[in-house]
Amino acid sequence: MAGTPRIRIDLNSPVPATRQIADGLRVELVEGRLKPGSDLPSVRRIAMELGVHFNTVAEAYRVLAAEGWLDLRHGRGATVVERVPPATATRTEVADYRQRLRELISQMRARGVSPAKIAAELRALAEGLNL
Amino acid sequence: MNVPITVMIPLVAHLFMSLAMFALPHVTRREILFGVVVPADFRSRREGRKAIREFRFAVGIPAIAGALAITLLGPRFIPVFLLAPMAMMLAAWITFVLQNRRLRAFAVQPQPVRELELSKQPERLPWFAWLGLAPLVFLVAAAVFLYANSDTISANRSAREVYGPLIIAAEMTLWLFGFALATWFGSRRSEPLRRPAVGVFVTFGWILALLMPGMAIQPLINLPAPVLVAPAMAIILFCVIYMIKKSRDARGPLDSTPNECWKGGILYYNPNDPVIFVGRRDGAGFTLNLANPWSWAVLGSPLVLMASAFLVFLLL
Repeated sequence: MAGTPRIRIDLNSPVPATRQIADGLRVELVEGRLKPGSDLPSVRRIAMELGVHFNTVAEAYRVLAAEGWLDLRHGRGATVVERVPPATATRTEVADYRQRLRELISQMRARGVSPAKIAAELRALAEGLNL
Repeated sequence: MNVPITVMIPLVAHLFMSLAMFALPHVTRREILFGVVVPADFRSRREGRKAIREFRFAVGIPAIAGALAITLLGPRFIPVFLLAPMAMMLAAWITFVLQNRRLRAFAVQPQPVRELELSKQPERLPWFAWLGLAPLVFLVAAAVFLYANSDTISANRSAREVYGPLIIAAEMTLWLFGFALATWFGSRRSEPLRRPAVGVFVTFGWILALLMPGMAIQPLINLPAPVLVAPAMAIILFCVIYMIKKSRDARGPLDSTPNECWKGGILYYNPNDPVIFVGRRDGAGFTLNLANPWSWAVLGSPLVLMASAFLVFLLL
């Protein structure tokens, strides 16, 4: 899972840009490409490069800071911090994630991705989790 | 037919501008026609060929009529020198906007996916951008030369006449350097014309550095005017051709500015996009995002430059 961390957004997606940015950054954080202590680009730079409003990026940073991933300091931008893992997710939360996974898999199948391919993708992602 | 030089100069200028307008649909990337993002093969389709043909017709008629008017009426009706190119330009831009509206039916949305590498590497200016300040040295050298030779300068020439061009050139050099910085920091890193544009601004600064001191010391060394002006014009022409080539040959995905934010294919207005400079869709180079307040500061900067030049002339 090495490589330069990067995020991408789809301007035509129904998913709001704030969520796409926060989700993209979270993937990089969870998979370890963004390590504690590393500085993230400024809100201005991300907004300019992605062509979205400053507030959109600032909101995504705030979401991740609230989750404990980032330290936001005025004038210093955002820094990745060592995150204290939260308490184990409740049964309801796990059920909610399972439902979202099922929806995603259904979307993939509807777009013509074969079950074998989906299984292979899930396997590859699971291996990346160092189970 | 013997055409006097007073008619020849505006005639050549008119023909040059007509030629530039005639070539307008061809200075952008293949995927952009009259400011609309179209499929890459659209230009060779019937609708594409028709749009280009109509535009050429709309430019060609006033271009020929204007050339005839300048030649026949010029010496007796001076305003035709200005009216003829203005009419041609107006016809060109009206036709451009009309074709833009028509071609929107064939528009494709530019690549909607944007990607960003999350490195926090500082944004370094290209090394050659700093050469944009070097012309100041030439200007100071010219001023020192004039001061050292002040006894040979005609007593009829005021300080304004002697040092004025140098002071204005210094202002313009700083303005061009500022413009180069604004272009660099106000556009996206993925913009392929960013580097060439900085290079062109630096080159313009150097042209000033040669032209204005040359004008200032010209009475002392009797330098013929064409020796000063001809190289400057040649370099400007080279810069224009260079930018057009860079614009046409740009590779990679198009800057995904939404189609609906382009007014007539000429003006860009997107309040959600914090960028100041975006690649033009109606020609080579950059245009401004008019929804960004800094763009208006950029637009207003030549006025500040002119006002300060006027002030300098008042004070000298």
